[in-house]
Amino acid sequence: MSVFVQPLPFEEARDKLGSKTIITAPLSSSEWADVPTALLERAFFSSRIENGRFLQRGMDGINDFLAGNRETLPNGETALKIGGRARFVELMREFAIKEGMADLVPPDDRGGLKDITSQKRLELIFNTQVKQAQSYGYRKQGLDPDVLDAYPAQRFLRVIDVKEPRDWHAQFEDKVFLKTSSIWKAINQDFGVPWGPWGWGCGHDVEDADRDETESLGLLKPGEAVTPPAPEDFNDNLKASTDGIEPELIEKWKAAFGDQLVLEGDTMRWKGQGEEATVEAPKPTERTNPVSAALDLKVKGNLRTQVQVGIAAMDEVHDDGNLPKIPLRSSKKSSYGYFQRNIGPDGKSTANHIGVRTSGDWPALTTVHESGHFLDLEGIGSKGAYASQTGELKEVLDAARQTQAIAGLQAKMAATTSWDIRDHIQNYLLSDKEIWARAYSQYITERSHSEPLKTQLKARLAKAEFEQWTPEDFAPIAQAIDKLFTKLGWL
Amino acid sequence: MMDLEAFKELVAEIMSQGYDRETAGRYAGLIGDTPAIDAEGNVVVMDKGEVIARLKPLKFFEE
Repeated sequence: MSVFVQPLPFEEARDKLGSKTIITAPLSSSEWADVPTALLERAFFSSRIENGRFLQRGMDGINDFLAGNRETLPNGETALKIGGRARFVELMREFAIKEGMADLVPPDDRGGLKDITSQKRLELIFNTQVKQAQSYGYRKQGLDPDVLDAYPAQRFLRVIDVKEPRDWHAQFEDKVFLKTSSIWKAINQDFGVPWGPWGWGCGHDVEDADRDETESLGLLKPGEAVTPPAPEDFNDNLKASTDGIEPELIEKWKAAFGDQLVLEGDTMRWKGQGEEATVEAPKPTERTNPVSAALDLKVKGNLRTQVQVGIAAMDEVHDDGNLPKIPLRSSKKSSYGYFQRNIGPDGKSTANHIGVRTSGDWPALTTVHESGHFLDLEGIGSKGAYASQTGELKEVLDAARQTQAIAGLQAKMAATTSWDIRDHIQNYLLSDKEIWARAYSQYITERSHSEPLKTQLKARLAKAEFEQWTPEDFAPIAQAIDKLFTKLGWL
Repeated sequence: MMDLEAFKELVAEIMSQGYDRETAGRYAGLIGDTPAIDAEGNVVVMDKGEVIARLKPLKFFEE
Protein backbone atom coordinates (compact mmCIF):
# COMPACT_ATOMS: atom_id res chain seq x y z
CA MET A 1 0.00 0.00 0.00
CA SER A 2 1.48 3.32 -1.06
CA VAL A 3 0.30 6.22 1.03
CA PHE A 4 2.46 9.11 -0.07
CA VAL A 5 1.68 9.50 -3.74
CA GLN A 6 -1.96 10.54 -3.88
CA PRO A 7 -3.96 12.39 -1.25
CA LEU A 8 -6.79 10.20 0.01
CA PRO A 9 -9.52 12.52 1.23
CA PHE A 10 -11.43 10.14 3.44
CA GLU A 11 -13.11 11.68 6.38
CA GLU A 12 -11.79 9.27 9.03
CA ALA A 13 -8.21 10.24 8.24
CA ARG A 14 -8.98 13.95 8.50
CA ASP A 15 -10.89 13.39 11.73
CA LYS A 16 -7.79 11.79 13.16
CA LEU A 17 -5.66 14.83 12.40
CA GLY A 18 -8.42 17.16 13.56
CA SER A 19 -8.53 15.45 16.95
CA LYS A 20 -5.03 16.68 17.70
CA THR A 21 -3.89 19.76 19.58
CA ILE A 22 -0.68 21.59 18.74
CA ILE A 23 1.78 21.13 21.56
CA THR A 24 5.09 22.93 21.74
CA ALA A 25 7.82 21.65 24.05
CA PRO A 26 11.62 21.39 24.27
CA LEU A 27 11.42 17.59 24.75
CA SER A 28 13.58 15.22 22.70
CA SER A 29 12.03 12.26 20.88
CA SER A 30 13.02 9.87 23.68
CA GLU A 31 11.48 12.21 26.26
CA TRP A 32 8.29 12.40 24.21
CA ALA A 33 8.21 8.58 24.20
CA ASP A 34 7.59 8.66 27.97
CA VAL A 35 4.40 10.68 27.53
CA PRO A 36 1.27 8.49 27.93
CA THR A 37 -0.31 7.28 24.69
CA ALA A 38 -3.61 9.05 25.40
CA LEU A 39 -1.76 12.38 25.27
CA LEU A 40 0.75 11.44 22.60
CA GLU A 41 -1.98 10.35 20.19
CA ARG A 42 -3.76 13.67 20.50
CA ALA A 43 -0.79 15.97 20.17
CA PHE A 44 0.62 17.47 17.00
CA PHE A 45 4.24 17.96 17.95
CA SER A 46 7.78 17.51 16.78
CA SER A 47 10.68 16.92 19.12
CA ARG A 48 12.39 20.05 20.42
CA ILE A 49 10.05 22.35 18.47
CA GLU A 50 8.72 25.29 20.47
CA ASN A 51 7.51 27.36 17.53
CA GLY A 52 3.71 27.04 17.49
CA ARG A 53 3.39 28.85 14.16
CA PHE A 54 5.61 26.25 12.52
CA LEU A 55 3.55 23.39 13.93
CA GLN A 56 0.29 25.08 12.93
CA ARG A 57 1.63 25.51 9.40
CA GLY A 58 2.64 21.85 9.35
CA MET A 59 -0.73 20.66 10.59
CA ASP A 60 -2.54 22.83 8.02
CA GLY A 61 -0.30 21.44 5.28
CA ILE A 62 -1.01 17.82 6.25
CA ASN A 63 -4.72 18.62 6.38
CA ASP A 64 -4.54 20.20 2.91
CA PHE A 65 -2.87 17.02 1.63
CA LEU A 66 -5.38 14.67 3.26
CA ALA A 67 -8.34 16.77 2.13
CA GLY A 68 -6.99 17.34 -1.38
CA ASN A 69 -7.59 21.07 -0.84
CA ARG A 70 -7.00 23.25 -3.88
CA GLU A 71 -5.83 26.82 -4.34
CA THR A 72 -6.22 29.35 -7.12
CA LEU A 73 -2.92 30.21 -8.80
CA PRO A 74 -2.08 33.74 -10.02
CA ASN A 75 -2.91 32.62 -13.59
CA GLY A 76 -6.40 31.64 -12.48
CA GLU A 77 -5.80 27.89 -12.64
CA THR A 78 -6.35 25.77 -9.58
CA ALA A 79 -3.95 23.24 -8.15
CA LEU A 80 -3.62 21.05 -5.08
CA LYS A 81 -2.25 23.12 -2.21
CA ILE A 82 -0.08 20.24 -1.06
CA GLY A 83 0.14 17.65 -3.81
CA GLY A 84 2.67 15.45 -2.04
CA ARG A 85 5.53 15.10 0.36
CA ALA A 86 8.06 17.03 -1.72
CA ARG A 87 5.85 20.14 -1.78
CA PHE A 88 5.24 19.86 1.96
CA VAL A 89 8.98 19.67 2.61
CA GLU A 90 9.67 22.64 0.32
CA LEU A 91 7.05 24.89 1.94
CA MET A 92 7.92 23.92 5.51
CA ARG A 93 11.61 24.44 4.91
CA GLU A 94 10.94 27.93 3.54
CA PHE A 95 8.75 28.69 6.53
CA ALA A 96 11.28 27.40 9.06
CA ILE A 97 14.02 29.51 7.50
CA LYS A 98 11.81 32.62 7.53
CA GLU A 99 11.07 31.97 11.21
CA GLY A 100 14.80 31.85 11.93
CA MET A 101 14.66 28.22 13.00
CA ALA A 102 17.60 27.21 10.80
CA ASP A 103 19.90 29.49 12.79
CA LEU A 104 19.22 27.47 15.92
CA VAL A 105 20.65 24.24 14.45
CA PRO A 106 24.25 23.54 15.53
CA PRO A 107 26.61 23.11 12.53
CA ASP A 108 27.26 19.43 13.33
CA ASP A 109 23.53 18.64 13.21
CA ARG A 110 22.77 20.31 9.88
CA GLY A 111 21.15 18.09 7.29
CA GLY A 112 20.30 15.39 9.82
CA LEU A 113 17.23 14.48 11.81
CA LYS A 114 17.95 17.15 14.43
CA ASP A 115 17.79 19.85 11.72
CA ILE A 116 14.18 20.99 11.37
CA THR A 117 14.93 22.40 7.90
CA SER A 118 16.38 19.12 6.62
CA GLN A 119 14.62 16.97 4.06
CA LYS A 120 15.00 13.93 6.34
CA ARG A 121 13.32 15.56 9.30
CA LEU A 122 10.49 17.16 7.35
CA GLU A 123 9.82 13.94 5.46
CA LEU A 124 9.65 12.11 8.78
CA ILE A 125 7.05 14.58 10.07
CA PHE A 126 4.98 14.23 6.89
CA ASN A 127 5.25 10.44 6.76
CA THR A 128 4.36 9.94 10.41
CA GLN A 129 1.40 12.30 10.47
CA VAL A 130 -0.06 11.14 7.17
CA LYS A 131 0.46 7.52 8.05
CA GLN A 132 -1.13 7.94 11.48
CA ALA A 133 -4.18 9.62 10.03
CA GLN A 134 -4.61 7.24 7.12
CA SER A 135 -3.91 4.11 9.13
CA TYR A 136 -6.53 5.14 11.65
CA GLY A 137 -8.94 5.71 8.76
CA TYR A 138 -8.23 2.29 7.25
CA ARG A 139 -8.66 0.61 10.61
CA LYS A 140 -11.94 2.36 11.26
CA GLN A 141 -13.24 1.35 7.84
CA GLY A 142 -11.88 -2.18 8.29
CA LEU A 143 -13.89 -2.62 11.49
CA ASP A 144 -17.16 -1.84 9.77
CA PRO A 145 -19.25 -5.01 10.47
CA ASP A 146 -19.70 -5.89 6.77
CA VAL A 147 -16.04 -5.32 5.92
CA LEU A 148 -14.92 -7.18 9.04
CA ASP A 149 -17.07 -10.18 8.13
CA ALA A 150 -15.53 -10.36 4.64
CA TYR A 151 -11.96 -9.50 5.73
CA PRO A 152 -11.69 -10.52 9.39
CA ALA A 153 -7.89 -10.53 9.64
CA GLN A 154 -4.81 -8.72 8.41
CA ARG A 155 -1.21 -9.57 7.63
CA PHE A 156 1.75 -7.67 9.06
CA LEU A 157 4.31 -7.16 6.36
CA ARG A 158 7.36 -5.14 5.49
CA VAL A 159 6.80 -2.62 2.71
CA ILE A 160 9.89 -0.43 3.08
CA ASP A 161 13.42 -1.54 3.95
CA VAL A 162 14.94 0.33 6.87
CA LYS A 163 18.51 0.61 8.11
CA GLU A 164 17.82 -0.77 11.56
CA PRO A 165 14.91 -3.25 11.57
CA ARG A 166 13.35 -3.90 14.95
CA ASP A 167 13.84 -7.40 16.37
CA TRP A 168 10.46 -7.08 18.03
CA HIS A 169 8.71 -6.67 14.69
CA ALA A 170 10.64 -9.41 12.87
CA GLN A 171 8.77 -12.16 14.72
CA PHE A 172 5.40 -10.89 13.41
CA GLU A 173 6.41 -10.40 9.78
CA ASP A 174 4.08 -12.08 7.26
CA LYS A 175 1.89 -13.39 10.09
CA VAL A 176 -1.88 -13.05 9.98
CA PHE A 177 -3.94 -12.10 13.06
CA LEU A 178 -7.58 -11.23 13.55
CA LYS A 179 -8.16 -7.48 13.27
CA THR A 180 -9.79 -7.66 16.69
CA SER A 181 -6.75 -9.25 18.32
CA SER A 182 -4.95 -7.37 21.07
CA ILE A 183 -1.68 -8.34 19.39
CA TRP A 184 -1.84 -5.23 17.21
CA LYS A 185 -1.54 -2.91 20.17
CA ALA A 186 1.33 -5.01 21.47
CA ILE A 187 3.15 -4.81 18.13
CA ASN A 188 3.00 -1.02 18.21
CA GLN A 189 5.27 -0.38 21.17
CA ASP A 190 6.11 3.22 20.23
CA PHE A 191 2.57 4.55 19.90
CA GLY A 192 0.54 1.96 21.85
CA VAL A 193 -2.35 1.89 19.37
CA PRO A 194 -3.63 -0.92 17.12
CA TRP A 195 -2.94 0.92 13.87
CA GLY A 196 0.11 2.24 12.07
CA PRO A 197 2.65 3.63 11.86
CA TRP A 198 3.89 0.68 13.85
CA GLY A 199 6.84 2.60 15.28
CA TRP A 200 9.08 5.60 14.58
CA GLY A 201 10.65 5.11 11.16
CA CYS A 202 9.02 1.69 10.85
CA GLY A 203 8.69 0.16 7.38
CA HIS A 204 5.81 -2.21 8.15
CA ASP A 205 2.22 -2.07 7.05
CA VAL A 206 -0.81 -4.36 7.01
CA GLU A 207 -2.93 -5.88 4.29
CA ASP A 208 -6.37 -7.44 4.59
CA ALA A 209 -6.81 -11.22 4.73
CA ASP A 210 -10.18 -12.47 3.47
CA ARG A 211 -12.49 -14.88 5.23
CA ASP A 212 -11.34 -17.95 3.27
CA GLU A 213 -7.73 -17.39 4.21
CA THR A 214 -8.60 -16.54 7.81
CA GLU A 215 -10.62 -19.73 8.19
CA SER A 216 -7.96 -21.83 6.44
CA LEU A 217 -5.41 -20.56 8.97
CA GLY A 218 -7.71 -21.69 11.79
CA LEU A 219 -8.22 -18.18 13.15
CA LEU A 220 -11.98 -18.59 12.72
CA LYS A 221 -14.26 -21.60 12.38
CA PRO A 222 -16.20 -21.76 9.11
CA GLY A 223 -18.96 -19.17 9.23
CA GLU A 224 -17.95 -17.93 12.70
CA ALA A 225 -19.01 -14.36 13.31
CA VAL A 226 -16.54 -11.69 14.36
CA THR A 227 -17.68 -9.09 16.82
CA PRO A 228 -16.31 -5.59 16.15
CA PRO A 229 -14.67 -4.02 19.18
CA ALA A 230 -16.21 -0.97 20.83
CA PRO A 231 -15.66 2.05 18.58
CA GLU A 232 -12.26 3.65 19.09
CA ASP A 233 -13.82 7.04 19.27
CA PHE A 234 -11.64 10.13 19.27
CA ASN A 235 -13.45 11.37 22.33
CA ASP A 236 -12.61 8.26 24.34
CA ASN A 237 -9.59 8.36 26.60
CA LEU A 238 -8.96 12.04 26.19
CA LYS A 239 -7.38 11.96 29.61
CA ALA A 240 -4.38 10.02 30.83
CA SER A 241 -4.02 8.69 34.34
CA THR A 242 -1.15 9.92 36.46
CA ASP A 243 -1.20 6.67 38.45
CA GLY A 244 2.18 4.96 38.48
CA ILE A 245 4.01 7.90 36.94
CA GLU A 246 6.97 9.20 38.91
CA PRO A 247 6.21 12.63 40.44
CA GLU A 248 9.53 13.91 39.05
CA LEU A 249 8.38 13.05 35.53
CA ILE A 250 5.08 14.87 36.03
CA GLU A 251 6.97 17.92 37.31
CA LYS A 252 9.19 17.77 34.23
CA TRP A 253 6.15 17.69 31.95
CA LYS A 254 4.53 20.57 33.82
CA ALA A 255 7.65 22.61 33.19
CA ALA A 256 7.94 21.54 29.55
CA PHE A 257 4.29 21.92 28.54
CA GLY A 258 3.27 24.82 30.79
CA ASP A 259 -0.44 25.60 30.63
CA GLN A 260 -0.89 23.35 27.59
CA LEU A 261 -1.16 20.46 30.06
CA VAL A 262 -4.09 20.41 32.47
CA LEU A 263 -3.83 18.29 35.62
CA GLU A 264 -7.13 17.39 37.25
CA GLY A 265 -6.91 15.12 40.29
CA ASP A 266 -5.23 11.95 39.12
CA THR A 267 -5.71 12.62 35.41
CA MET A 268 -4.13 14.90 32.86
CA ARG A 269 -5.17 16.14 29.42
CA TRP A 270 -4.27 18.75 26.85
CA LYS A 271 -5.90 22.13 27.33
CA GLY A 272 -8.89 22.46 25.01
CA GLN A 273 -9.54 18.73 24.78
CA GLY A 274 -12.32 17.01 26.68
CA GLU A 275 -13.89 20.36 27.46
CA GLU A 276 -16.74 20.16 24.97
CA ALA A 277 -18.56 17.68 27.15
CA THR A 278 -18.76 20.34 29.85
CA VAL A 279 -20.83 22.59 27.53
CA GLU A 280 -24.32 21.59 28.49
CA ALA A 281 -27.24 21.98 26.15
CA PRO A 282 -29.12 24.96 27.58
CA LYS A 283 -32.73 24.72 28.69
CA PRO A 284 -35.16 26.12 26.11
CA THR A 285 -36.96 29.40 26.87
CA GLU A 286 -40.76 29.36 26.92
CA ARG A 287 -42.05 31.21 23.83
CA THR A 288 -45.18 31.26 21.70
CA ASN A 289 -43.40 30.89 18.37
CA PRO A 290 -39.77 30.07 19.08
CA VAL A 291 -37.20 29.62 16.33
CA SER A 292 -36.55 26.15 17.78
CA ALA A 293 -40.01 25.05 16.60
CA ALA A 294 -38.95 25.65 13.01
CA LEU A 295 -35.75 23.62 13.09
CA ASP A 296 -35.78 19.84 12.91
CA LEU A 297 -32.37 18.84 14.24
CA LYS A 298 -30.70 16.07 12.25
CA VAL A 299 -27.37 16.43 14.01
CA LYS A 300 -25.81 14.55 16.88
CA GLY A 301 -22.92 14.61 19.32
CA ASN A 302 -21.04 17.80 20.01
CA LEU A 303 -22.45 19.54 16.96
CA ARG A 304 -25.96 18.97 18.31
CA THR A 305 -24.96 20.62 21.58
CA GLN A 306 -23.45 23.55 19.70
CA VAL A 307 -26.54 23.93 17.52
CA GLN A 308 -28.72 23.84 20.63
CA VAL A 309 -26.61 26.62 22.14
CA GLY A 310 -27.37 28.79 19.12
CA ILE A 311 -31.07 27.93 19.06
CA ALA A 312 -31.51 28.49 22.79
CA ALA A 313 -30.00 31.95 22.42
CA MET A 314 -32.42 32.83 19.60
CA ASP A 315 -35.33 31.52 21.66
CA GLU A 316 -34.16 33.61 24.61
CA VAL A 317 -34.16 36.80 22.55
CA HIS A 318 -37.22 36.69 20.30
CA ASP A 319 -40.23 34.94 18.75
CA ASP A 320 -40.21 34.46 15.01
CA GLY A 321 -43.79 34.79 13.81
CA ASN A 322 -44.57 31.66 11.88
CA LEU A 323 -41.73 29.88 10.11
CA PRO A 324 -42.04 26.63 8.13
CA LYS A 325 -40.19 23.70 9.67
CA ILE A 326 -36.93 22.73 7.93
CA PRO A 327 -34.17 20.26 8.75
CA LEU A 328 -30.83 21.36 10.17
CA ARG A 329 -28.07 18.96 9.11
CA SER A 330 -24.38 18.49 9.67
CA SER A 331 -22.25 19.42 6.71
CA LYS A 332 -18.83 18.43 5.43
CA LYS A 333 -18.73 21.24 2.90
CA SER A 334 -16.04 23.91 2.87
CA SER A 335 -18.44 26.65 3.93
CA TYR A 336 -18.90 27.08 7.70
CA GLY A 337 -22.61 26.80 7.05
CA TYR A 338 -25.26 27.44 4.43
CA PHE A 339 -28.96 27.98 4.00
CA GLN A 340 -30.38 26.23 0.97
CA ARG A 341 -33.66 27.13 -0.69
CA ASN A 342 -35.64 25.70 -3.55
CA ILE A 343 -36.71 27.97 -6.34
CA GLY A 344 -39.86 27.38 -8.35
CA PRO A 345 -40.63 28.25 -11.98
CA ASP A 346 -42.28 31.48 -10.73
CA GLY A 347 -38.99 32.57 -9.17
CA LYS A 348 -40.39 32.20 -5.66
CA SER A 349 -38.13 30.63 -3.05
CA THR A 350 -38.95 28.22 -0.27
CA ALA A 351 -36.57 27.27 2.52
CA ASN A 352 -35.11 23.79 2.17
CA HIS A 353 -32.57 23.20 4.94
CA ILE A 354 -29.68 24.59 6.94
CA GLY A 355 -26.27 22.93 7.01
CA VAL A 356 -23.63 23.54 9.68
CA ARG A 357 -20.10 22.25 9.21
CA THR A 358 -19.14 19.65 11.79
CA SER A 359 -15.54 20.83 11.90
CA GLY A 360 -16.24 24.58 11.80
CA ASP A 361 -14.59 26.97 14.22
CA TRP A 362 -17.80 28.52 15.61
CA PRO A 363 -20.74 26.14 15.01
CA ALA A 364 -23.15 27.80 17.47
CA LEU A 365 -22.57 31.22 15.89
CA THR A 366 -22.88 29.68 12.42
CA THR A 367 -26.24 28.16 13.41
CA VAL A 368 -27.50 31.63 14.32
CA HIS A 369 -26.02 33.19 11.17
CA GLU A 370 -27.71 30.68 8.85
CA SER A 371 -30.96 31.05 10.80
CA GLY A 372 -30.64 34.76 10.04
CA HIS A 373 -30.84 33.92 6.33
CA PHE A 374 -33.85 31.70 7.06
CA LEU A 375 -35.64 34.56 8.85
CA ASP A 376 -34.69 36.92 6.03
CA LEU A 377 -36.47 34.66 3.51
CA GLU A 378 -39.40 33.28 5.48
CA GLY A 379 -39.83 35.30 8.66
CA ILE A 380 -39.63 38.99 7.82
CA GLY A 381 -41.71 40.63 5.10
CA SER A 382 -43.28 38.55 2.33
CA LYS A 383 -42.51 34.84 2.50
CA GLY A 384 -40.38 33.59 -0.38
CA ALA A 385 -38.49 36.84 -0.97
CA TYR A 386 -35.49 38.11 0.95
CA ALA A 387 -36.49 41.01 3.19
CA SER A 388 -32.93 42.30 2.86
CA GLN A 389 -33.66 42.85 -0.84
CA THR A 390 -37.19 44.19 -0.62
CA GLY A 391 -36.56 47.06 1.79
CA GLU A 392 -37.91 45.68 5.09
CA LEU A 393 -34.41 45.66 6.60
CA LYS A 394 -33.44 49.10 5.29
CA GLU A 395 -32.95 50.71 8.69
CA VAL A 396 -30.77 47.87 9.91
CA LEU A 397 -28.68 47.86 6.75
CA ASP A 398 -28.38 51.67 6.70
CA ALA A 399 -27.10 51.55 10.28
CA ALA A 400 -24.64 48.80 9.36
CA ARG A 401 -23.27 50.75 6.41
CA GLN A 402 -22.32 53.60 8.76
CA THR A 403 -20.08 51.40 10.90
CA GLN A 404 -16.31 51.21 11.10
CA ALA A 405 -16.39 47.50 10.34
CA ILE A 406 -18.04 48.04 6.97
CA ALA A 407 -15.66 50.94 6.30
CA GLY A 408 -12.81 48.58 7.18
CA LEU A 409 -14.00 46.01 4.66
CA GLN A 410 -14.31 48.70 2.00
CA ALA A 411 -10.79 49.93 2.73
CA LYS A 412 -9.43 46.40 2.59
CA MET A 413 -11.13 45.90 -0.75
CA ALA A 414 -9.73 49.14 -2.14
CA ALA A 415 -6.21 48.25 -1.04
CA THR A 416 -6.03 44.72 -2.39
CA THR A 417 -4.72 43.60 -5.75
CA SER A 418 -6.21 40.13 -5.30
CA TRP A 419 -9.32 39.35 -7.31
CA ASP A 420 -10.31 36.72 -4.78
CA ILE A 421 -10.18 39.08 -1.81
CA ARG A 422 -11.92 41.86 -3.74
CA ASP A 423 -14.73 39.58 -4.95
CA HIS A 424 -15.14 37.96 -1.54
CA ILE A 425 -15.64 41.36 0.04
CA GLN A 426 -17.52 43.20 -2.69
CA ASN A 427 -19.80 40.48 -3.97
CA TYR A 428 -20.29 38.49 -0.80
CA LEU A 429 -19.39 40.14 2.51
CA LEU A 430 -20.87 43.52 1.53
CA SER A 431 -24.10 42.07 0.09
CA ASP A 432 -27.26 43.02 1.98
CA LYS A 433 -28.12 39.39 2.71
CA GLU A 434 -24.75 38.71 4.25
CA ILE A 435 -24.54 41.91 6.27
CA TRP A 436 -27.97 41.09 7.71
CA ALA A 437 -26.99 37.53 8.67
CA ARG A 438 -23.79 38.70 10.37
CA ALA A 439 -25.67 41.47 12.16
CA TYR A 440 -28.39 39.07 13.28
CA SER A 441 -25.86 36.59 14.69
CA GLN A 442 -24.13 39.37 16.63
CA TYR A 443 -27.46 40.76 17.86
CA ILE A 444 -28.45 37.36 19.27
CA THR A 445 -25.02 36.96 20.83
CA GLU A 446 -25.16 40.35 22.54
CA ARG A 447 -28.81 40.23 23.63
CA SER A 448 -28.71 36.65 24.98
CA HIS A 449 -26.78 35.40 27.97
CA SER A 450 -24.98 32.69 26.02
CA GLU A 451 -21.32 32.58 27.06
CA PRO A 452 -20.34 30.03 24.35
CA LEU A 453 -21.78 32.35 21.70
CA LYS A 454 -19.94 35.34 23.12
CA THR A 455 -16.69 33.36 23.05
CA GLN A 456 -17.27 32.28 19.45
CA LEU A 457 -18.09 35.82 18.35
CA LYS A 458 -14.83 37.06 19.86
CA ALA A 459 -12.93 34.29 18.09
CA ARG A 460 -14.52 35.16 14.77
CA LEU A 461 -13.83 38.85 15.16
CA ALA A 462 -10.21 38.07 15.97
CA LYS A 463 -9.77 35.76 13.00
CA ALA A 464 -11.72 37.64 10.35
CA GLU A 465 -11.16 41.36 10.86
CA PHE A 466 -14.15 43.63 10.11
CA GLU A 467 -16.48 40.68 9.43
CA GLN A 468 -18.17 41.31 12.80
CA TRP A 469 -18.34 44.48 14.86
CA THR A 470 -16.91 45.69 18.13
CA PRO A 471 -19.73 46.18 20.71
CA GLU A 472 -19.48 49.99 20.39
CA ASP A 473 -19.54 49.89 16.62
CA PHE A 474 -22.49 47.50 16.69
CA ALA A 475 -24.71 49.52 19.05
CA PRO A 476 -26.67 51.43 16.34
CA ILE A 477 -27.34 48.18 14.46
CA ALA A 478 -28.61 46.50 17.62
CA GLN A 479 -30.99 49.42 18.19
CA ALA A 480 -32.29 49.16 14.64
CA ILE A 481 -32.94 45.42 15.09
CA ASP A 482 -34.67 46.11 18.44
CA LYS A 483 -36.95 48.50 16.61
CA LEU A 484 -37.62 46.03 13.81
CA PHE A 485 -38.39 43.11 16.13
CA THR A 486 -40.63 45.30 18.28
CA LYS A 487 -42.55 46.30 15.17
CA LEU A 488 -42.86 42.62 14.19
CA GLY A 489 -44.11 41.79 17.69
CA TRP A 490 -41.23 39.40 18.27
CA LEU A 491 -39.84 40.89 21.49
CA MET B 1 -21.03 31.81 6.36
CA MET B 2 -18.16 31.38 3.99
CA ASP B 3 -14.51 32.33 4.39
CA LEU B 4 -12.13 33.35 1.63
CA GLU B 5 -10.82 29.84 1.03
CA ALA B 6 -14.31 28.40 0.54
CA PHE B 7 -15.19 31.36 -1.68
CA LYS B 8 -12.17 30.67 -3.88
CA GLU B 9 -13.21 27.04 -4.21
CA LEU B 10 -16.66 28.12 -5.34
CA VAL B 11 -15.22 30.57 -7.88
CA ALA B 12 -12.92 27.89 -9.27
CA GLU B 13 -15.78 25.44 -9.70
CA ILE B 14 -17.95 28.01 -11.48
CA MET B 15 -15.02 28.78 -13.80
CA SER B 16 -14.73 25.06 -14.57
CA GLN B 17 -18.19 25.37 -16.16
CA GLY B 18 -16.71 27.79 -18.69
CA TYR B 19 -17.34 31.18 -17.08
CA ASP B 20 -14.60 33.80 -17.00
CA ARG B 21 -12.98 34.87 -13.74
CA GLU B 22 -14.97 38.08 -13.36
CA THR B 23 -18.33 36.45 -13.98
CA ALA B 24 -17.48 33.52 -11.71
CA GLY B 25 -16.48 35.92 -8.91
CA ARG B 26 -19.74 37.81 -9.28
CA TYR B 27 -21.84 34.64 -9.35
CA ALA B 28 -20.02 33.18 -6.34
CA GLY B 29 -20.84 36.31 -4.37
CA LEU B 30 -24.49 36.22 -5.41
CA ILE B 31 -24.81 32.53 -4.53
CA GLY B 32 -22.81 32.88 -1.32
CA ASP B 33 -23.96 30.58 1.47
CA THR B 34 -27.60 30.76 0.34
CA PRO B 35 -27.74 28.53 -2.76
CA ALA B 36 -31.03 28.40 -4.67
CA ILE B 37 -31.69 25.08 -6.37
CA ASP B 38 -34.29 24.54 -9.11
CA ALA B 39 -36.29 21.40 -9.81
CA GLU B 40 -33.52 20.04 -12.07
CA GLY B 41 -30.88 20.49 -9.40
CA ASN B 42 -29.28 23.48 -11.12
CA VAL B 43 -27.92 26.32 -9.03
CA VAL B 44 -29.90 29.45 -9.85
CA VAL B 45 -28.01 32.74 -9.75
CA MET B 46 -30.22 35.66 -8.85
CA ASP B 47 -29.54 39.37 -8.69
CA LYS B 48 -32.13 41.69 -7.11
CA GLY B 49 -34.80 39.02 -7.48
CA GLU B 50 -34.07 38.32 -11.17
CA VAL B 51 -32.66 35.05 -12.45
CA ILE B 52 -29.46 35.84 -14.33
CA ALA B 53 -27.97 32.38 -14.81
CA ARG B 54 -28.51 28.70 -14.12
CA LEU B 55 -25.36 26.73 -13.33
CA LYS B 56 -25.08 22.99 -13.62
CA PRO B 57 -25.11 21.29 -10.18
CA LEU B 58 -22.02 22.34 -8.23
CA LYS B 59 -20.00 19.81 -6.26
CA PHE B 60 -19.42 22.59 -3.75
CA PHE B 61 -23.05 22.24 -2.68
CA GLU B 62 -23.49 18.49 -3.09
CA GLU B 63 -24.35 16.51 0.02
